[in-house]
Amino acid sequence: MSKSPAPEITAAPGVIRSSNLTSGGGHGWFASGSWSLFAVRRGGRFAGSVVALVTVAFLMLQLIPGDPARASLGPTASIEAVALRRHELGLDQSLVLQYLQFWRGLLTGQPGDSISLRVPVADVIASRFPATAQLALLTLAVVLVLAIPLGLLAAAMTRGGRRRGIELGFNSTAGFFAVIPEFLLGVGLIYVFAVSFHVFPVAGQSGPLSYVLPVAALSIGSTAALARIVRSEALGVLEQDYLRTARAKRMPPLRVYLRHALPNLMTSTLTIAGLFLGSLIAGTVLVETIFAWPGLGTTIVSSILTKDYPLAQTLVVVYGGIVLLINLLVDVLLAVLDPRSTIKES
Amino acid sequence: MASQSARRWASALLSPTGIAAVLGLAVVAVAAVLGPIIWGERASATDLLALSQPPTPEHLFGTDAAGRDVLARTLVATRLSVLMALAASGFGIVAGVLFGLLPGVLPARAGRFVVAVFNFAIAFPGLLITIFLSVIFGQGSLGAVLAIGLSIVPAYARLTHTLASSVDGRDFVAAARILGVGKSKVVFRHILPNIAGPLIVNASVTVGGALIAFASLSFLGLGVQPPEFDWGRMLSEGLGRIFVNPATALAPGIAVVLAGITFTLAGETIARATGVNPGPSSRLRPWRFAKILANDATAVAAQNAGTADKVLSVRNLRVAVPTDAGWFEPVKGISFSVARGELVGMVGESGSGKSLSCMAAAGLVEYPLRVCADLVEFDGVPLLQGERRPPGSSGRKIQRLLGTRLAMVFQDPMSSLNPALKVGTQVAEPGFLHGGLSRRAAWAKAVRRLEDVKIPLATKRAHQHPHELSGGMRQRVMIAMGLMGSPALIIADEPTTALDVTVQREVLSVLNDVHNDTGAAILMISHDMAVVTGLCTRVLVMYQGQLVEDLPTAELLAGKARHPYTRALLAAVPDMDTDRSLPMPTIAEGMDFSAGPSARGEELEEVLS
Amino acid sequence: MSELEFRNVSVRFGRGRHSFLAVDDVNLIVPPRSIVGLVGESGSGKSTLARAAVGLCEPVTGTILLDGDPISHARGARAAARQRVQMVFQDPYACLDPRRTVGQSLLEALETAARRRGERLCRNGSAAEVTRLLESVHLSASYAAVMPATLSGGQRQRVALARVLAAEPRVILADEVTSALDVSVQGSVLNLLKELAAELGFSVLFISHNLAVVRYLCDSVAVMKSGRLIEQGGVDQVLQNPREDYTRKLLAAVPRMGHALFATGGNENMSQPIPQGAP
Repeated sequence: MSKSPAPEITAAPGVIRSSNLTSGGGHGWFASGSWSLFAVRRGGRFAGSVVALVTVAFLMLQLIPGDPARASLGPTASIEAVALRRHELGLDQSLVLQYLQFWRGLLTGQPGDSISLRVPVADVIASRFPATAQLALLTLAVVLVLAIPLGLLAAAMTRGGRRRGIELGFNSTAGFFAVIPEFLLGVGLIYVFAVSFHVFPVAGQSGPLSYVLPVAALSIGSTAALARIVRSEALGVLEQDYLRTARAKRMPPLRVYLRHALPNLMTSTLTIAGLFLGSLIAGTVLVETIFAWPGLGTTIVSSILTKDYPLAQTLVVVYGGIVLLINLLVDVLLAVLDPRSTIKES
Repeated sequence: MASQSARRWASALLSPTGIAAVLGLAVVAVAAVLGPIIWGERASATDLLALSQPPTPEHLFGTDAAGRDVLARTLVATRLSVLMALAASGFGIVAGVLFGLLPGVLPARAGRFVVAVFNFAIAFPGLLITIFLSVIFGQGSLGAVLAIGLSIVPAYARLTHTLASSVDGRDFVAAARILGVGKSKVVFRHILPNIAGPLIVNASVTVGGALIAFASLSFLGLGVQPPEFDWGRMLSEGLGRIFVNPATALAPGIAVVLAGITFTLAGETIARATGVNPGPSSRLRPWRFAKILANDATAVAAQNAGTADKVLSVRNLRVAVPTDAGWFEPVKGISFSVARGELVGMVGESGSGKSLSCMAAAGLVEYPLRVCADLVEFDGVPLLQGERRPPGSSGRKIQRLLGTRLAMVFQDPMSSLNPALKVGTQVAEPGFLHGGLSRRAAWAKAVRRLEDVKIPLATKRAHQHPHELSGGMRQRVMIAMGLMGSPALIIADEPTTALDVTVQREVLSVLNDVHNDTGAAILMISHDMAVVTGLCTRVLVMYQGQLVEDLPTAELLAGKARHPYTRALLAAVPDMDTDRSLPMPTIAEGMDFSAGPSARGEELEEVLS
Repeated sequence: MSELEFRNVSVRFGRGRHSFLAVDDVNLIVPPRSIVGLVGESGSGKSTLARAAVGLCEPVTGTILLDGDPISHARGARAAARQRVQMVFQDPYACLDPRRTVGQSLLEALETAARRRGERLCRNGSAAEVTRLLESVHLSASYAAVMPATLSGGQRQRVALARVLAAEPRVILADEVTSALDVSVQGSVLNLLKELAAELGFSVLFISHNLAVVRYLCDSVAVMKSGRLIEQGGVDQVLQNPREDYTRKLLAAVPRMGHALFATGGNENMSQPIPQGAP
């Protein structure tokens, strides 16, 4: 998870519940919605978001103060070189035409050439995307597999103010790991496991062992943060009347937690996990830089540093698109798991 | 009020979290203010004889590539790091709060557009927004502040908007609008103060997050540019030589983590102090029930009567609840019993302890509440003696007995059924867990039980989720659930309070039929005298944690209630036959009946003024 | 002397296919100096009707009039006129701003009313006004400094009533004002409402699901079902000789003291009414 300054997920999960994350505002009145309606509305929102994203990515170049061509070449470049760069970037055309061409490039899969690498942007992305995707998905799996049981267990053990010691231990441990930025954790892990003990490779992508440290660096903080949120959500669910009903039926505790509590946790947990995945994608940027991981993260940083605008613009669209896609997937998944959320949605 | 908030602040600040937060903030503040003054020279002094040195007594964390002392640089960097974090957070929070409040002031359509904008922006992780913006603003500390500040805006706007929306629907806001208080006055006078707590708490957390975001950005080379330096810049430089000299990365790393944790702890402390997130209440000493003999008449009677024909016998039951002010006993030693097949009603006002007593008798009162009784016996099996189950009894057997012979119906049918499970599953559960049925057989039985409680199309309904059922139907599902075993007693806790009168009648009719068909006894808790006297043959009246009346309904209605409270309560119930020319009988607020019949009997006329 | 009239009022919630009429073509008059009961089950639209009268939602068709002047879709002077229609809510724990003292809440109402009259409140006068309001709901002046959190449910409803009085209302809409209160407190709040209505001459639209209370308090009754007003008339006529089956069903469902709910119930001899013996 990225240590973004966004207040909602980074910390104080007890304060901010998923309810703050899931609902955008008051939709008080709704009648039963249908699947097709949901598909149309959600699909429409996705399309709208993509258009907004592409537009924003396009405007990025226009918003750069001064002349982007000059900025990318530096103050010493000749006027001819700048003019050439202007032409390369398409800045000598009208805004509308530039915008249309930007769209055409994206839609045809040929968004131009990278200035710094002198190869098509599409090739760069195609060769680097898999490494980032592997890293992110593996991390997500680790986070989900660890955080949900941990959070639920902690909630079950500490509900109603039981076992204050365990609560304190859990909160401080999780709080500590959730605060450490992943790049710092990465540095620490490299120092301990790669430099001192030579257990894992220092950097690069080479065989299964090389995944361990990057995944650990990315997942430890997220696991801690998600486990905290799961616990606080679970504590809320465990207070609900329907769990009193389950206890009144004298269900065995394991059944109470797994059959009655867990499904009610999934909605909020998935919603948050979706946000986490988005943050994970951002976190890969940092971790890739530390571990010299051949993914998109290192590319986006270098593209900004080298002022390789076509590459940076396309990467913004790619990263943003991935985030939007994740949100879409989470919403669909939620709708399948919890039909009421579909209704609320529409 | 003031003393209460002062007490909360004191307890929050004196907790380990609070102390750590205050100390941490003090260290950060001192380093930020004095750092550059004290160590500024040392931090920029290059020592060409000591380039990239490992830690020495002279340079505790070694020196960097230019031979500058890393510790001094870390301390000096505090000012820039913290200032940038504060600036970006301040900008982001103020803009975010204003943005989030905007929909409340704007016309509806414009408001929706604003919400759509920040809902779109919030989909993107802060770091991506920051990276994007740093392209536009260029690299450097000002660009970084703008980028990180802007990336805070959508999250804060959404938070503010969500909090504001939850307050916006409350009645006091509606009341202000109806009075004609202007839109912006409503927002700043009524909404903002009521959401300030969570916003302030998150502000502290946001500063911590911003600190780390700056470190990340500088680490990537997108933030602060030389010769300026912050912790992220130093980390990035240190990482390059981590093999040679790990300490150069260690010092700024520790600084970032400590500062981040400090702001998080500060947030938690504020949350606790403002009551946003109460945290663990102060630990009370373990409660010891004082030995009180059950000596009132009802208890003696209960003790003398055998328990053989009783389905439920409760003797001297007490419940203790921990509160901020210490332990409190809302149930102060009550004794009652329910005979097999009997219809008993328990009435009392909110807070009289009626619900809690029955939950305690059913073994559903949980930690941290404490329950103690001379005896609780259900269906011939003692459940509770003192504070635990009788020695030698099997917990599993007791659970099984309660699972099959005791049925519970709760007040709110909306929340008492699990929204994530099918109705059929929830009804069938006791069948295969306690009744030894296969899942299929349990399901079939569940459908029959749903038919028994007059749910139309039971086969179809069993496959639905609770939200697809009406309130009355859900309450019947609760009853059906209890019928999966062979209940000897149904405890119904305000089963119809949340329902309309016509639905109330249907649900009560189902309960009544179940009673007639199965012979199950019913203990019904209600605040509604008319319902209780209409259904039950005996009435128990609770008042301030004590059972003040236990008599047959017929006698109650015939005016034979002994306790003044019971008589006042009866008189206060408006009826379809009440004389309208007189004011309604009332019980003066704060009227205390706890002295009992002898002392208060004479004053009844006064009470019913 | 003022009269609140709902003329063909409909309120719609939602849009398109999933919208529904919460209030459907309702005609209702609340005559001057009268208390009109509005009964019906939850979801029948009775609260929505009241909310439309104070502008919390607007009717899609129809007009709401105060003394013959339309006050729905109000702007400017009309909105000011609408402020003479006030509302008291069900939940005593939500109706007062938890961050403001009783005095501050009342003062705000007084200020707003003064602004409507084109006056300004002077500092001394306003304190006296707050005291006067508190006394009119039988609370002592010392309550002005109190935070709502320390008040009981009944006291909160009194304060809510006092705040409404600040607006010098001509009509008060009382939406289930006692259903969240214990029966022992209910009587005193209702007595107060009746007394104030008689004294100050405002009329009341009294929304309740409790027919016994409606019978006690109201002069006439209107019955709503699924958004429609199905029956109205004098309180004795509607509650004793209802014309509509639905009203009859509603009345039959009300449990009555001393009447067994079910003839086949456990206590056979209770199928006959037992005279109430309590004082």
